[in-house]
This record gives sequence, C-alpha cells and structure tokens, in this order.
Amino acid sequence: MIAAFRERLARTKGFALIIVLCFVVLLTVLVVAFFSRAATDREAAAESLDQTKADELARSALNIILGDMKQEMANGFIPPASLANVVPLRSGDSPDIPNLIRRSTRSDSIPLPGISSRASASSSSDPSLNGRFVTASRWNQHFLIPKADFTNEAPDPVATFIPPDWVIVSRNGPAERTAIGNGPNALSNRAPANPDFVIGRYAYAIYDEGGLLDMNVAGYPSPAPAPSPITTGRKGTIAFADLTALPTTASSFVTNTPINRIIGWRNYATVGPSGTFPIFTFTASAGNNFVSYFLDSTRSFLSVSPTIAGAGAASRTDQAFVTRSELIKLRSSINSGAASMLQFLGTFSRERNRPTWSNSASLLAGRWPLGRFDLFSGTLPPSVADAALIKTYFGLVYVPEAPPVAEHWIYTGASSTTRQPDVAEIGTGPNQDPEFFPLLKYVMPTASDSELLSIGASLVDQSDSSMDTTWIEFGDPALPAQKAFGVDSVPPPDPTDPRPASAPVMLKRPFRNVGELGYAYRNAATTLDFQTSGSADAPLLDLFTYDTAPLRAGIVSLNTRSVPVLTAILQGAMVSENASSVVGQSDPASDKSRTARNAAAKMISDGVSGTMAHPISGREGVAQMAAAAANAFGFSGEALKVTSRALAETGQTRTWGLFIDVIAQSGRYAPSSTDLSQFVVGGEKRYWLHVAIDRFTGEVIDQELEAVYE
Amino acid sequence: MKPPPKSGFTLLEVLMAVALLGIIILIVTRVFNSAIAISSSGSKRLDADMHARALLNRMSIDFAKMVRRSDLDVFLKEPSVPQSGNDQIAFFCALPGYYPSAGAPSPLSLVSYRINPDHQMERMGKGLDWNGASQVNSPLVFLPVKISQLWLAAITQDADDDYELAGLQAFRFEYYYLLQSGVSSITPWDSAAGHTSVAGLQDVTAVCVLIATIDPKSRVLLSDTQLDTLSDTMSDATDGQAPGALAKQWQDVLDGVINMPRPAISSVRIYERYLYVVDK
Repeated sequence: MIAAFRERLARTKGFALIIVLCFVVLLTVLVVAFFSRAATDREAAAESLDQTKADELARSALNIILGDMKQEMANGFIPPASLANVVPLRSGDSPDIPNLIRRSTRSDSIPLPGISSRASASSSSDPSLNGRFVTASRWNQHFLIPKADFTNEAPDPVATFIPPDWVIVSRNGPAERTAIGNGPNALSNRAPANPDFVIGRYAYAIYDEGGLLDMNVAGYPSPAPAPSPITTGRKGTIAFADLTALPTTASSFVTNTPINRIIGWRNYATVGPSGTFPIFTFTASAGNNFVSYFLDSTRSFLSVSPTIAGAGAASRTDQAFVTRSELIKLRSSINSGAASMLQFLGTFSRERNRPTWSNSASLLAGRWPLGRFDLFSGTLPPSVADAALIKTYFGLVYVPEAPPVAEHWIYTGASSTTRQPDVAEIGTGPNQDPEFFPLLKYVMPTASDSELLSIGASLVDQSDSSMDTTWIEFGDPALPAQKAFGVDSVPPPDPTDPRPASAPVMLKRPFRNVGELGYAYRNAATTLDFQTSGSADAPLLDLFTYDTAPLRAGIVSLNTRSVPVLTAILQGAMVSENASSVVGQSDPASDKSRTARNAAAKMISDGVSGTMAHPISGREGVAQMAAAAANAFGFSGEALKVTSRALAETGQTRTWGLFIDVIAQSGRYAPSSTDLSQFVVGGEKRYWLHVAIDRFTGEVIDQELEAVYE
Repeated sequence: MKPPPKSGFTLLEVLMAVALLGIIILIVTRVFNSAIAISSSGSKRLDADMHARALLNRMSIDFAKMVRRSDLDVFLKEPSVPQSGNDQIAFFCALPGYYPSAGAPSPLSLVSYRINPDHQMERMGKGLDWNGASQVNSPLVFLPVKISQLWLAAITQDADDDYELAGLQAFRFEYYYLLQSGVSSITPWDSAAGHTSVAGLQDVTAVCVLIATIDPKSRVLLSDTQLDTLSDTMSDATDGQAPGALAKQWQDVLDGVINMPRPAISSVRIYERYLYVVDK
C-alpha cells in the first residue's frame, strides 16, 4: 500500500512544473501579443511620421525653390536691370516643351542671375533601393508638357522631356552630391554629429502658367447667336480669346463643344445657359449676359460673380477652378475635347494693374482708366457732375457755343480756373496719379503741348457721340488763345482751322482696349504708332487700361512661348472697324487660324532668336510684337495695329506666373547604399504651387498651394 | 517488533505546504493580474492612439485639401459663432466624397466634423456634382450662397446619410487657430492686421485640434449624463493659449474628477495636433 502511494506520488511530482509552465506560457502569450501589437502600432506611427516628414520636406522644398526664384530677381535687380532678366532664366528645358522653364537638373549650368537647382546625378525616374521611382508620365499628371500621343488620354510626355533629378537634402540642407562617401561624413552615417546624413530628397519642375490661358476667364460660347464676332473681335479680355484656335493634334483643333460645356459650367448663374451639364446651349440673351459680365471694367475676376440662379436648395452660382486637378477632371467629365488641349490652359494668373514703363523718377500708382473718356459720351454740355470729373481727370472746362465760336474746351488743369499756357509735368516719386495731359507729357516728353492736346482732343472725338471735331484752347491767358484740334467727321466751322484727315476711322463708342488708342491722331495726318518697334507712342499701351481692378486675374504673359496661346487671343481680332473684318476670316475652313498662328509664331520665334528686343519688359513692347507680325493682318494702318489691340490689354509682363511641381521623399540612405539612387524612401508628398511674383517689386502677389494625392 | 516508521506528513508540514501554496498562488495571480492589467491598459492606449491617429490623419488630409477662397463659405468657430462645448466645422474640400447614385460627380466635396449625441465623432464627406448637372444634388456654390442654405446638417446635429463614424472613441472636439502672426486665437482672422472676416482663412496657418477619447470598455462605466458632464467640464479654447495649454487644462480637470469611476476617467486620452491648412 505504501509502495502504491509512493508510486502515485512519483507520478504527480511534475504537476507543479506543469502549472508553472502554463502560467509562463500564458504570460508569454500575453507579452508577445502586447509587443506584437506595439510593434504594429510603432510601424503605423513610423509611417505616419514619414508622411509628416515628407510633407514638411515638400513645403521646405517649395520655400527653397521660391526663395531661389526671388534671389534670381534680386541678383538681376528689382526692377530688372536688363531685358534678359525680365523673365526667369531657363534651365533643363526643351524647345519641344514651351511651358517648361526649369527642372532640377544635375550639374545645373544656369548662368547668373539664376540659382542652381543643387540637383545631384540621380534621376527621379531611377528606382530607389525599395523600388520607388517617378515616371515621366507621373511628372506630366498636370498635362503641361505636350503629350507624346495626341490620340489618347494618357499623360505620357514627349520623349524630349527628361524627368528631374533629385536634390538631396542632408541635415545641413540641400546640396549637390557626387557620392555616398565613407566614414563619419558618409551620407548614410546616422551619427548625430554627421551634418551630411541625408534625411530626404526632392525634385521639381517649374512651368510658365502665366503664359497660359486662365480658364477662369478665357473662352466664349459660340457659334452665334452668342456673342457676335464684332463684339469678340474688339477683344479687351481673354474671355474673347478664340479657344477653337488651339490645336489638339497636328491637324485638328478644339471644337466649340468642349468650350461651351466648360463655359456653361463656369458661368452658369451669370450667363444662364439652357440645358444640363455637360450639354449647354446659349441663347442671344445668354450671349448678352456673357458679354456684359466680361466687359465690366471693374471686375478683377479674382472671385466668382455673386449672381445666384435658382432659389433655396436649388441655388446655383458661377464656378471657378479651385485647382488644376479640377480643370483636368472637368475636361474628362464633359466627354468632349482632348487632353492635349490642357497644355495651353491654366487656372491661375495675376497682375498688379500698374505700368512697368517709366522714364524718370516718377512712378504711377496705377494705370489710367480708359473709362474716364466715357465722360464725353453724352450730349454736351456735360452734367455738373461730369463737368467736375472732366476737370479733375482731364483739366478741361467746357465752353458752350457762342456764335460764331462753336462749343469747345479750355485747358485749365485740374486745380486752376484759367487757361493754362503749358501742360504741367507730373510729380516725382512713387504713387503718382496724374491728370490725363500731364500723363501724356510724361510719356511723350518731346511732343509739343499743342500735339499733346490734339491727341487728347482726338481721343475725345473717338469716344464721344458728336461728329463735330473737338478742339481745345490753351496758352497764356494774356495772349490770344491757341487751339489744338482733334479729328472727327465734321471739320471745325472756322475755315482757317486745319482740315482733318479724310475718312478717318471713328469708333464713336467707349474704348474697349488700350490698343484702340491707336485710332487717335497726333495731328491731322498721323495716328499714334503702336506698330513700330521702339515707337515713342508705344508706352501709352502700358499706361492706360480698360480694366480698373488694381489686382486682377485673366491675364496672359506677353513673353509666353506658347504659339497657340497667342494665336487664340489674336484669332478673330478686329482688322477693320468699318468693314467689320476680323483676323482669320479669309483662312480656309480646315485651318481657320492660320493667319493668327503664323503671326504669333513670328512674334515668339523672333523673340527667341533675338532678332527683336525680346523678352519685352512692358506692354509698350507689344509694338515690337506688332512689328514682328508686320503685315500679317493687312497693310492698312488699322490692320498693322491688330496686335496692339488684341494683346496689349490682355497681356502683362510684370508678373512671373509660375507653376512649381515638387515631389519630396523622406527617408535615408542604407548603410549598404553605394550609389546615390539607392535611397530608402519612407514617405512621399507632392505639391503644385501656383504663384505670382511681381518681377518689378519682388512681391509675391498671390499663391495657391495644391496638395496632390495620386 | 518495532513498528515501521510512519512516512506521512505531519499536520504542521501540511499546514505549511498549504500556506506556501496559497502564497505562491496569490503571488502568481497578482503577477498575472498585473500583467493583464498592464497589457490591457497598454492595449487601450494603443487602441486610443490608433483611433486618434486615424482620425487626425483623416482630418489632416481634409484640412490640407480645404478650398480656401474668400468667395467660398466655411462654417467654423468665430466671434459670431462661438460654439460652446463641442465644436463643429464644415468646409469645401478638393477631395471626392460620397456621391449620389445618379449624378455627375466633381472632384470636390463638402466636409463636416461634429460630435453626435452618442458622443462619437462623425465626418460628412458629401460629394458634390458638377455645376448645372442637377437641381437636386448640389454642386459647389460660392458666396453669397452659404453652406447652411444647402446643407443644414453640415452645421447642425441634423441627420444625413453621408455622415460616417470617424472617431468612435472621441467624445470631445475643440479647435482654435494658429494665425500667421504666430498668435493662437479663437478668431480665424488677424484683427491686429485690420481684418474683420474669414476671407478664405487668409490669416490662418493651422487649425489646432484637440480631441478627448475614451475606449469602449471604459465608456460603459459612465452614463451618458456623466459623459456630458465630463465633456462640459473640459473647457473651451480661449485666445492666446500656448501650445498644449488647453490639453493640460483638460488633463487637470480629469485628474480632479472624484465623482466618477476612476478606471473610466483614467482611460480618457487627450490628443492635440496642428493641422496645417494649405498656404494661400
């Protein structure tokens, strides 16, 4: 019995061990589960941290790139000391990609005042150690690079596009690197004391978005009844750019279908199109609404019209493209048009409405509004209020008819009540806001006072409704008055007064664009010269404006290299007011914008080859562009000035409108990395920065940052 | 004949063995319980961290894609909308949302965040149609049309099918603004710069978001009323608060709570993150 008990005892000796082992197993499972969970969480946190680092890196990269662009301005002086520095220098670009200004490129040989990109010999298209790379197609997600194949929707760029190189960022910041290196300063050495340890990299490309057609404004519905060719032909806004002049392939062009669909979506409330997205039609009334909206000279187009269509839950407004991604998506949603048209279209353009031209220490606060000539449009005598404004703006006092002397004006200046012997000079210093005639004198210092007053009288004749020739008395009040005559259909009643030119072109309506000042005569025989390179009259193009908004959108860089962009603006421009003929009307239907395209190409190619003073520094340079186009639009004086009427009001030169595409990757080099491409990517972030920088002040006027999620 | 020696245990030996076994079991049990408690607490913490990270990451993306224009409405805390207690925010976002089954989806949406009556954080991502596509499904609208006119649920507790639970554990939501001048404020513009309106958040660099979370197991220890009370005692943001100051205030409040189950209170986590809005 005892033996049996001992035997049983021996069998149960391991019981405690089993129990202890069970506890150990349980505890182990518990601990392992916990640590496994913690490890997973740590990985998730690390991923989140990598993304945050990439985001910070991308923002830093944008600041560096933007800083470099501003430094380039500073190096080239603000305002620019030479014409070559009016526009950003190009580096890593290609003639096949007119929008591309710069990309991060190895051994960047950009000359001063440009700043090197600091990129190393590591292409963004080379796979990283963990297999990450950026294809050329990804670099063209924005479609700003011409497509390789026009027949599909893929963003594959032309073969000459070279993906940007990486700018390697160490603890010390970005710098061009040649190798990983060894020892304490190796790019892969994580030692806290190593300033060369790499924390990330970025690559970028910069495009000239300012040289594109801002689709928040550009384009009009067609065909008739909305709006008439005469209305659009007078231009004055890029809303009247003819987008059907934009090519989609080598031999085909954008049709009016996608344009109407975009405009119906964009100006839904103000224009009131019929139909439902994406198919809209436009009545005559809708066309009138369109014209009224875009010819409102006070609009900046920086914000959407406050007009509301519908009520309550059905309230609808106009639209603006809030991102480029939205433009790309809309283009594909309207089931019309081609992806290739996107290379000509932008969503962001800005300009301070100030001239760049100056000839002394006097700087203007802004351009002089052409709308002030509307004060003369009514029947004379002017109302008391108008008379006061005419005196303020023009320094003129109305004198009613007193037979045998006809009604006329006396030049007194704004602050005097008596006839003035001379046209005053404008003040010196910044922010000058002169009267009209001192402003003319500022522009044309060699012109006589009589000539200046004649130009003013002729401009009044162009914009007033009377057929009688306007004349202005001036001169020493103690002496007999001198007279300055305009040009109108009915000559002055006094036969001893000079006879005006025969059959002058008279607008008899408000000026639509600054180029229409070219209809004015400087004397009885000669109109203002806006078609000769270096013309002394050309600065008028820069000093006057139809649009009075101090900061505005819907403006195109006159230094654009995109031929189709200039073509679209020129196409349909009025060649002859009397004949109602427009650019392109005699072109074949299969190539209806041939004339405009050839002229635009001439303007741009002349600029690139340096055969004319290009880039132009101000709107006065439009005369040089007109000279390049020569007689492309006809031989009459009116035809020679088509370029100035179409481009001067819609163009600008003072703003760099840049689109910066940056991809940043956080991460590090592995200890085993031997080549600059062998980077271990942690997180990645991409931004598109739309930015407008005033080249003549260095001020960042406006910017929009678009986070890109692919 | 001498009887064989007895080989059993004395009473003392048995008692000692039982006592020793009891002590060992007690120790092991306590160790085990402690391990479970630590593991459970750690798990809760990880859970809370994970949920908060997911929520804040979601918000971070939304805020980065916020459409900032002076001609677009945004519903947020400002002097005329002080938002006592839990906050609410609604804005247009350049991200897709939940679209109507039949429509013409644009790449934009209306995003709204709120704490619902069940003390959970909800996110609405209402996909917007292209303009002119429908009289029923709204597109993006610009001022003067306001969010409240077309999407009342975005600024109230009204029901909307496009709301989804974004933070199951979040029961308190507060935010304030980091202005470009470096000042924290509950007014989304810089009065010192002479500005008087939101104007596309032109003066705002980041929205500082605070959320308080409680895990489901601890949550059941509190009644709805207690959770309301707890939420109410966590104060609103004020002007000029230093980073982390409001979170500390909240933690101090939690540390001082004595009339609610301690395990529940101690499992409340507070998270603060600066959500940078895209530079304008």
